[in-house]
Amino acid sequence: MMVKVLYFGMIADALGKTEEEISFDNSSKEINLKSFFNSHHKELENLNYSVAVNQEFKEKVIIDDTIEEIAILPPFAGG
Amino acid sequence: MKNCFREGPIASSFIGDAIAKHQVKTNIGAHQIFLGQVRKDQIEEKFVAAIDYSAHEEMANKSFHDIREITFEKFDLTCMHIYHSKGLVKTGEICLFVFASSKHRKEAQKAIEFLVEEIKVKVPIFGKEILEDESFVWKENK
Repeated sequence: MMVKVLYFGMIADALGKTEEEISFDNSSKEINLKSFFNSHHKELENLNYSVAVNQEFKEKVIIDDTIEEIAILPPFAGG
Repeated sequence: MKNCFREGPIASSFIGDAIAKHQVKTNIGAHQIFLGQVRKDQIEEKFVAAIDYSAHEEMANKSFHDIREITFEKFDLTCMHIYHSKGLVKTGEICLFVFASSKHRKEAQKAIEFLVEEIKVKVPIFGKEILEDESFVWKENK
């Protein structure tokens, strides 16, 4: 299935895009999000980021149709 | 969901008006305010001229909302307001305005300290430090 992935800040800069649709295997297997994204985009391997699924921080997730978006978030700088 | 973002710097008149609006709330005895200001940091040979703030806005507003709820649970506050800039804020301008009010000073003081730390760590806001020669560096909270 296709999932909308959003990129922000220095990550968007490094990848040259702010969003894309990525195809995931529709299996009930839990995936490690960082391993997945590091191999999908080699540029991410050396960057510091966290992952939010449906706007909640997650390290692992089972991809299913409840997922509306995955966000790749570089270090925060608010305040 | 309340939108906590303001385009560009937070004007001192906006802060003044926020204070004035609380004059009718006569059960308040103490206001505590924190203002974040863009600092002219030196990065190698260059100085910061501005920060261009971006965010996952929907997630950030949810996060501000959650932080508000937790702060209200932890401290005995009458009211609380959070405003953060998005877009370009020059050095010396205000990028964060948090405002907590309570009957007595201690609650508002403790609440603000807690709030600001939570915002720094939990809200997905990103800052591009624009240097004087228009090159840039991505900022990261310590």
